[in-house]
Amino acid sequence: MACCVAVLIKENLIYLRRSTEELKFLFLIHASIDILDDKVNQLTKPGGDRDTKDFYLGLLYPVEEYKIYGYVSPTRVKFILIFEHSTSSSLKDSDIKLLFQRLHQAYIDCVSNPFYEPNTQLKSKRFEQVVTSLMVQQDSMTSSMTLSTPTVAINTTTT
Amino acid sequence: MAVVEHYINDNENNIDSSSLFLSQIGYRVGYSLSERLSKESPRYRDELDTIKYLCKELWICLFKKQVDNLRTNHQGVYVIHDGRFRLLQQTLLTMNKPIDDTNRLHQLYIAYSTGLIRGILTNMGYPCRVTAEIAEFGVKFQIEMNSTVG
Repeated sequence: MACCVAVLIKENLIYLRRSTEELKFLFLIHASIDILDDKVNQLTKPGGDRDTKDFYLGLLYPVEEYKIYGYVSPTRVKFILIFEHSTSSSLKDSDIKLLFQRLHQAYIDCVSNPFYEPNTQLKSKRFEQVVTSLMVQQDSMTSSMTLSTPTVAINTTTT
Repeated sequence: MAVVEHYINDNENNIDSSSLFLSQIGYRVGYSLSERLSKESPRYRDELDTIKYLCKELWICLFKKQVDNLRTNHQGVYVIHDGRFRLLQQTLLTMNKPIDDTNRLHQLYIAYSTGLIRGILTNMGYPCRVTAEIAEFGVKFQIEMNSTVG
């Protein structure tokens, strides 16, 4: 159901998986970095609501066909999920939070692998599996398509 | 701390390179450890908050006690003093080894710990430089933030 999953450290994309090869996703991800940074700054600045017990930052913004959700770990790793409008209408906030938590746990497990070099591409098989399960869940229609598309991972840096 | 023991036995005469190795191992451990542990306490922090978190909660996880003293000049320099540093407890208590040997041992344990602290803080978003010295009854860690790095 999620049609795009991305993990970023600062502005570097360390993991990207999309259901289709559209460049639009990259554009959406980069547009949401600023929003995420903004929200985190709001939370960390003095006097801000710093006691929030949540890394889940909610709906970042809706565009015509997609809804974009964000999550930032306390170590400032950004997770972005993009859903199609049609499939996401049934989703509740708590569901999405659970998805993010699973993704975060998978990321932690991946980073704890001593053979993984920090700040490089995530290539863990187990992480792939979690992402696959996120993408096919509840939506068996697109699952075959999701599985057949190769993982695209590129290193981009915004200026 | 078998890894420290290994370097003591392994690299007989080159203490600098083994210190460097241990510091790098510590960095890596701190990096993934902070990722894992910080998930448990959901909250975003600023610089001072992060240091406090390190001194209170993480220090308990690492060394089973809180730090004894934390001082700062509010310009990016923090001094952490731990009067009973756990990794050195054994060697500080039983000083029956040759003085030369224990110094080497201390230096390697300290190198590992500084790497650990550096890894934790760097991953929490505050790149820094950590130095340490053995005070009379404990260890002093001095942390300098690289405020120039984003």
